[in-house]
Amino acid sequence: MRSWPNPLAPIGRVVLEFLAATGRVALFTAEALWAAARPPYFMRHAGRQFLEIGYYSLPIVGLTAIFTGMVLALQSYTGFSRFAAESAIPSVLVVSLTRELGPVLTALMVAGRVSASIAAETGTMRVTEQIDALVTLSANPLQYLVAPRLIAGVLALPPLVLVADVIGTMGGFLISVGKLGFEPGIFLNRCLESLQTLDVVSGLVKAAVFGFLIVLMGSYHGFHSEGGARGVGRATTNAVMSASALILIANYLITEAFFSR
Amino acid sequence: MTGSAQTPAIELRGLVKRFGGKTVLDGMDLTAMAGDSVAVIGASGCGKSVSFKCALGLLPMDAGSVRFAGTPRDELPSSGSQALMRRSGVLFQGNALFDSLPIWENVAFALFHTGPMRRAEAYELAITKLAEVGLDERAANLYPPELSGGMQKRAAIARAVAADPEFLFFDEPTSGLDPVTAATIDRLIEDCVTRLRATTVTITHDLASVRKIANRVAMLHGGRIVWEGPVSELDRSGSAHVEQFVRGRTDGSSTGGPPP
Ligand SMILES: Nc1ncnc2c1ncn2[C@@H]1O[C@H](COP(=O)(O)OP(=O)(O)OP(=O)(O)O)[C@@H](O)[C@H]1O
Ligand SMILES: [Mg+2]
Repeated sequence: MRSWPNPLAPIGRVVLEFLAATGRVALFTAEALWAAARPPYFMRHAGRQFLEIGYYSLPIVGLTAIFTGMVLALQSYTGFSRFAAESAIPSVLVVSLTRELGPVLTALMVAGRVSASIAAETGTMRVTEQIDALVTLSANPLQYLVAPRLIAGVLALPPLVLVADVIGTMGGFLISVGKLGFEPGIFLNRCLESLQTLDVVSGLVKAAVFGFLIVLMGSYHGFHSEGGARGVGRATTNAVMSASALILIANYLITEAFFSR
Repeated sequence: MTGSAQTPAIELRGLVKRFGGKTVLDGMDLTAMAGDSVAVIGASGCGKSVSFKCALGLLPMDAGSVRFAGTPRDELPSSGSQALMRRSGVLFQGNALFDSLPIWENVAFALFHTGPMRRAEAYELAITKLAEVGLDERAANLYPPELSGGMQKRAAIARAVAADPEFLFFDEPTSGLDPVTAATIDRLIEDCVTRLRATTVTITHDLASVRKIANRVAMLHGGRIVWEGPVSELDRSGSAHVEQFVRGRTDGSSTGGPPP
């Protein structure tokens, strides 16, 4: 008689695979950080990547932010008008934007753009032996490919998030003043009054961490892709998915660290 | 002096490489003395490219040792293996040109990206090296995808020899080239061997080029070197594998001309 498969075996396999993957990512992270800390520094690359990650993400981030601010104003109005608490809208708007929505939505949008393109580019370099060629030309691929992007990612996300905060607030302002009958001066005053340094700072810390994760996941999956175009496609998908998941998890952890008591 | 004359420049001992359950290299030995030009021949898929990647440390091997000028490669610190790479030039079978950089930056990569040279100086040198493989300044400013396959191959060869290396590895340098360009490449490799006294390992299917560039030939079959000897003995090797390879080639059209 055929013996039944052990029902715990697949669970064990998944757990082991997860632990192994975590270990590989951790090792890769440590190596990448070590590579970034040592000369030679490829500053020109970091500059170009900063443009690529930061500047060219402005349109999509702006678009996301303005509509988020607008919808936020509309929805909080629906909620708060039931309790005649419309006056809380500016403060709800500005706090949720700077603390949560600005950083998270910006990072998710940039993850879609940047993790994917980094994974595709690095993955193609891997499968066409360009990464091997780097080694034979005595360049450390981590220093040449990953470190400049990590630096650019960490530096580019905070200003992007600031832009998103401002544009998002503007979206909320437009709806509140144009549609909900707020007085412009009073609205802006409320916004500024309820805004605290910690709100903005926590958002910017998140942004830097998210920038790191976005680049790390793109590079990691690109570096370890194999098997031609299909492998690169898989690496790209995995990069975006894992970057997005890590952004959400990290967001919770950082919020917890800053605001729980 | 006799000591260093007897230390092989490149020495592979008992290389074993498996992919999953499949053994590709099964105890491969290869020795090249300083200034030797060794041609490695063998059927397609027999593990030639894999063996040179193992030798350079680009692929982990399952067993065996690799020595460059007597020093075990895997005992070198990472800075040491980087220094070793600085003394080596490598041509990959698929060229592996960086397609985000123009051709001249590809060629001069080791000189100014990771070396001490200034940009303008490196540009001049790249132009010189490209001229040696028959590419002009116009091609130097194009990107790899804008070049034909043969031009890419020549650019990749220029990159491999740009830093005047001591150890040279060419994976199929003349495949996909017309006979005239192939002859130019053969002369270039010959020149590296004689002028730079570089120790050269060339993987090739092209017997005409083997006879021109190599002084020794090694035949890889079944994961091992089944025959090794001076190029002059290629036609009377006494090895069935070599004879089949040589005859199989000359029976067909070895020069790449039209079939009869
Ligand atoms: N990454 C890999 N994973 C699994 N198998 C591989 C891998 N790389 C190479 N192989 C296998 O190893 C064997 C040798 O490959 P290799 O590229 O060395 O052949 P080759 O002798 O260079 O052939 P050719 O003359 O056609 O270039 C092949 O059978 C190939 O299927
Ligand atoms: Mg090959």
